[in-house]
Amino acid sequence: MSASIIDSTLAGHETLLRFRTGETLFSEGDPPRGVYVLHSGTVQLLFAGKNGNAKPLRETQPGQILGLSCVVTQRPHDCTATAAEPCEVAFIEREEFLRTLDDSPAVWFCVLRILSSEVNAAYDDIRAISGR
Amino acid sequence: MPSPYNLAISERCGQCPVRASHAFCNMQPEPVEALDSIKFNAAYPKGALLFVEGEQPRGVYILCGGRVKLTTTSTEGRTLIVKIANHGEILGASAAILGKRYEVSAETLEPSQVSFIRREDFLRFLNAYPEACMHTAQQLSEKYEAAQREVRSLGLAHTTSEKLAKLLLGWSAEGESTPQGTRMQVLLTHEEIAQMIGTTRETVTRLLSDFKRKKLISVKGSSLFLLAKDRMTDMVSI
Repeated sequence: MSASIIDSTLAGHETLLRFRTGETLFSEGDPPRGVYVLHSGTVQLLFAGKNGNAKPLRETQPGQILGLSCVVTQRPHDCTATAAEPCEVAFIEREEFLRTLDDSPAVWFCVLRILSSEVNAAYDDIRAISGR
Repeated sequence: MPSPYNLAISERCGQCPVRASHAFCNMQPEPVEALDSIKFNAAYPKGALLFVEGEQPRGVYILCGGRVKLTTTSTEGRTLIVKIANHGEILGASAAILGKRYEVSAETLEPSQVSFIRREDFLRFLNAYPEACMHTAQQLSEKYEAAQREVRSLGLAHTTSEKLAKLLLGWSAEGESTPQGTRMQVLLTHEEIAQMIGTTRETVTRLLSDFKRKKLISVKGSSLFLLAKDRMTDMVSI
């Protein structure tokens, strides 16, 4: 729900992009250019190891937002996002995104909710991995 | 006047001597004043629990001075450290924002000064100041990135020695260059290091001896010297 509020707020500021299966939205180490709202399809997030031993991390479903934490911290992407099937993605540049946020506390709050959920998802992953 | 714990206790955020270097609370005078009016100061001894995994979120904790370990419990019941929080960080924000139970426990590693803000006050504060939202977003993103690094280390490393090497290399980034190698202050016990890389205290002790024998590291008191950064980097495939 949070993501849809952001998506509607950003309408008009975004560029629609299409990715074919296997194409990359962003790679680990890339500087954060902006945020990606997945409209349709599935995006696979993965960690790329040094010697090509990639490890799938999680899958992203339509409505979810990618690249949010990197846009906030201005640090490079910490994982790679690849289209697992044909995808439609709305892309919003970083500056544009932050400008839009400052005009609306409600949208800011949605961003905080999404980031909080991402933190929790990562903690779930930690518990699951180390429980094996 | 020094306090019993040597904490530079500061009652008011506006006069806080370390605020400028603090990630969360370094804001414009107006939000700082608002922050001052909703926070409660407290000093805690080492080993105090600020909040426990599974509790309902009472509010958020700003770590004004000291260090706190954030831990969770694996599905097998093992304690894992997900992050060592430093002064200037805000703790418990994701639970307070979502209104869900705390996902981690927070325990002080040394005497610490902490400001508590009740959940309702914190949410009103965010609503009033976009700058506070930005700072909270940065804090959440850093927690997320730290957790992602942990997922990567636990999930991708092939051996425990690789995980330990990765941890030491991470610490060395903030170490001090000396003729003997990069010096790091290790303020964690072997048990705590084990909880950071998902292994046992015995394994950490054995691996550190192993690293010393291979001249990768040397230890003097609480200082650890990284002697062969290149060889240690070669050990890490993640």
